[in-house]
Amino acid sequence: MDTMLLSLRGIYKWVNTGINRTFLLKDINLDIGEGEFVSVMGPSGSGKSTLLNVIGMLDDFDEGAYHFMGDAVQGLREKQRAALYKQYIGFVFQAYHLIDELTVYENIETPLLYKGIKTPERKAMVADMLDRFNIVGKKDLFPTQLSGGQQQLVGIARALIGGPKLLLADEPTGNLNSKQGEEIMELFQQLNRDGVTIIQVTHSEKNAEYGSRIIHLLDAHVEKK
Amino acid sequence: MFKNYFRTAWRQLNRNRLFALVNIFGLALGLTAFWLIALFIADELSFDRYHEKADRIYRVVSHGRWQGGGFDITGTSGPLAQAMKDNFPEIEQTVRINAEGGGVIRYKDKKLKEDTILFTDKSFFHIFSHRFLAGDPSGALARPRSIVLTKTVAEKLFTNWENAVGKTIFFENNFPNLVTGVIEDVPRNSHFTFSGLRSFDDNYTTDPGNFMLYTYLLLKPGASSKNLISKLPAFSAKMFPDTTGKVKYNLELQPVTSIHLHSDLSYELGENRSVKFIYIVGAIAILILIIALINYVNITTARSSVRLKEVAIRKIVGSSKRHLIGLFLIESVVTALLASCISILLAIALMPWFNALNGKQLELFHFGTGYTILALSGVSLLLGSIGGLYPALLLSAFRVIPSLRNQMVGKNGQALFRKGLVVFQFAVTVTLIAVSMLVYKQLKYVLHKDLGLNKNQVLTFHIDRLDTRRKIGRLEESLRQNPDIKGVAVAGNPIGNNDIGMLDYSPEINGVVDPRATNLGYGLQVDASFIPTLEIGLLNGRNFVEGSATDSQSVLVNETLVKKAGWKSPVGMQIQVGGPGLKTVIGVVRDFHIYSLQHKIEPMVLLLPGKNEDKDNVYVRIGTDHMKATIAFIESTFKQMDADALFSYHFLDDNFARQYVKEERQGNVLLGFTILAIVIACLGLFALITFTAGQQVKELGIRKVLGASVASLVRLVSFYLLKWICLSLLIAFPVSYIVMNKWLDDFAYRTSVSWWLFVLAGLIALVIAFATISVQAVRAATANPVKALRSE
Ligand SMILES: Nc1ncnc2c1ncn2[C@@H]1O[C@H](COP(=O)(O)OP(=O)(O)O)[C@@H](O)[C@H]1O
Ligand SMILES: [Mg+2]
Repeated sequence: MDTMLLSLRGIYKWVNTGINRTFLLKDINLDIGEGEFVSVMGPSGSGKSTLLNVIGMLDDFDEGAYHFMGDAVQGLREKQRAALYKQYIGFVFQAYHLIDELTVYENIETPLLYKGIKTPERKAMVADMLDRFNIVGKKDLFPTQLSGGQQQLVGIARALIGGPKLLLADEPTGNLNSKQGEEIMELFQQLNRDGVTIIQVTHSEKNAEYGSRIIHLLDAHVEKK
Repeated sequence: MFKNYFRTAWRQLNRNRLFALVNIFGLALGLTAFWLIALFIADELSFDRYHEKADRIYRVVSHGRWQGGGFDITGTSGPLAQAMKDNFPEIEQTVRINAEGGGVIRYKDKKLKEDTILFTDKSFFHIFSHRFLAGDPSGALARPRSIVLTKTVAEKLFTNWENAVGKTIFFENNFPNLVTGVIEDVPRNSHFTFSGLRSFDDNYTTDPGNFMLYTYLLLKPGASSKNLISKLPAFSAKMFPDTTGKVKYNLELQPVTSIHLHSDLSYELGENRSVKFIYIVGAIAILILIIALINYVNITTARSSVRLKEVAIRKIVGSSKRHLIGLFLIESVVTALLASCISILLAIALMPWFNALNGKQLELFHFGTGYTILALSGVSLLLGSIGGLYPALLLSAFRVIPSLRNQMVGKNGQALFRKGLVVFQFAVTVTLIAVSMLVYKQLKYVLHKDLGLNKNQVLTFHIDRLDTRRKIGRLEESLRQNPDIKGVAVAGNPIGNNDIGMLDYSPEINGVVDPRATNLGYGLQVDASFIPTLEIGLLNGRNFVEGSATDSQSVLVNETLVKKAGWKSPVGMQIQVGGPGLKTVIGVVRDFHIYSLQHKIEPMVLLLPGKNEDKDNVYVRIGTDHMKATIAFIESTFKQMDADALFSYHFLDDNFARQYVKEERQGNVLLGFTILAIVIACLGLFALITFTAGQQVKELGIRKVLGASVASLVRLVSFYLLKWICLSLLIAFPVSYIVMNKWLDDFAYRTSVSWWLFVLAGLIALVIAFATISVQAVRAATANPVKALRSE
């Protein structure tokens, strides 16, 4: 395996409901190397999204050690963590989560704004991305004017514009028909070949096959095969 | 980045037009109210500041205290000015004013009645700054029988003011006055005004005991007024040696710029205002702004649930907290700036109405268009920041994952905060409603209170010429010939519209009259017809008899005097009035008011006029039929006596009513802004309800499918908010109670603070709120449930 991107050691996450403690993640141990394409599978409610959110630093965990590119995430402050995921991680969601008030162009541009990238460079980068995903003609439309597949393309473009090392995709094809889904998967494969590490959650065996490794979750822990 | 923020802000507003409009319009109304009130207050504060030496000018006023009484008057004794100048090196200059220089002015065939002409010293223009159009400020009043006219009067007399200087005009036909100057009209923001200034005769002064001149001082630059004030008690003790050993005199220095708002003494030269009202309207301005701001915060936070997801996404793609706060701030700043644009239009539209209410001539851009717009933008930026900050902090603090799921953490605390704001808004609104109602109730009370005399259908006029007064008997006789004239009386003072002079009196106590035991009371000279004509009640004894030889030594007194003297059987008692010599009380009249109800009824002595020349005020009671003809008859009869005279008459009830113009204007201003506050609060309520109803559409849909009636659904939605409005009433009632009593303090005779004022104010607020609520509630409840359920 090439260099390690991240490692999880004994990660626990729980919520207390009265006297009971419900585990959302239970003793997760996981290493992901740079350039991997990992699929996470498991029944609904098994903790897939939670795991992805923890990896993406959007959510906390209660116990364990998480190292991302050598940094101990549990020891970072909120701001440092935000800086870390802003620089290295891109997110793609099942429900796309585009900003309805912004056009396609602006949605893709937003992460660059927050990175403080100057206008000419930004313009070039967005134009590049629009070109790459074949959505130049749609750049002035609002999300609600697009089909689901197109919206997801925009979502992926937005995730990629900052040049992330790691792409986290939570059921990216869940709301798409199979043809659209296939296109997205081929896109992911291409990205992975270009060097982006990908972790995707999926329910479809077929989509999971695109990855080089499959992790099965069951009741908040990784199922041993 | 900014461009992006602005674009998003604009789209947000555009996408939620109802809420945006309510926000913008509400803020615009609030800003407009604030603006107008700011102009009003600025004007009140600007009084007398236009004098170049304003910070060095003081007015001297007199106070007297004795056991059980006292006086506080603007008048001072004639020699005072010179004495002060001689004694105090701090004083650079003094000026005296005598307010009785008015009358009929004649120039060639033109006649003009000008009452507000003052006599004064030549130093007047050294102290007060007035712009001369013609003539020389330092010499204009240097010689006796000179007069300086204001432009308006000069134009009335000479058509063109440039022709005025050097001409001689006449007062009462025989006193020539040389016009030596023309000045711009006296600015409206002066505590006293005049249409002309006449010079005193050489060495003019008054009796030291006669407090009828107004004295103003100009201190030397750098001189300390404190120093001077500290020397005043000793000075006045020397100046007014206390002969009776009972009365303590003192002098007070009033900075000229504080007179308009802080001085409320007897014989003020002009109509002053109470600083209390400035505080009240100032508070209203700020409260209205707060109400508008609350709308903004409420609507924005209520809608924050809708924007949770957007915020979460922005965070995920890398937005820092600072960026998010910036985003929301820009949005509210854009709202506020739009509001200030609209408020300019609103203010332009409302200005004439506001001026009509307050009786001023305020100019919208009084401080210059640039400054005004700058200030307006400043205030709206401030509002935008305050209004945007809370929602911004609130939204940016939410955690990402729950937000993405559209779960709001800590929703309860926030809803409570919002309700608290609504409660506050309504409390303010109800208070304003209640207080405005009280102001009107008091107005109604003073206008209709039994004054102890019948002021209706009484016409009164003044006889300027001494000649005519001497022939007054003939005038009365001629008037009585007309059957529509029910009574004719004369008196030595006008009543209803000013303070009449006070005099000393000493009542008989235990069989002796001690002339040193002085009391202060009103002395009114009236003829025998006065009491019947004005329908004043005679409680005891008898009225004067016309032509009686002995009645010149008789007086009537009022109830208050009897009570004060402690007389058991007043008729036959001896009393010393004014100068030496005893008079006998022949009757007691019911207390009657001679002035507005701000003033208490004081002891009063009625005397017959000593000579015909004192009979200068005529009162004529006329019937309700043929009033026009009757008035014409009175005029022509009067003109037969004095062909040159100008006949200018007033109705007695108007005289009294005019005393409440200030209060009426206060009432109007209050009412105007109360309505504004109600409109703004209702706008906010409307938007809030629209939003909650929108949120509840699904719940209502389900209930409806389950069989709930529209009425029960409306109840459900309305009851929830009405509960909070009731809470606001509980806050509003004690607050308005306190404000009402404070305002009523100015009146010696006041209406009661009735319970129904509160009930009515509460009801008005409830009805308005309920109407606002039910429109939305009905809409939500009657919506097609299937559609509502599908909308998920
Ligand atoms: N903050 C939370 N509080 C309580 N329960 C949660 C929370 N987040 C997730 N869960 C629960 O944890 C379980 C795992 O959720 P999730 O990771 O979304 O599952 P998956 O994505 O595999 O369907 C679910 O039962 C979910 O309801
Ligand atoms: Mg999931």
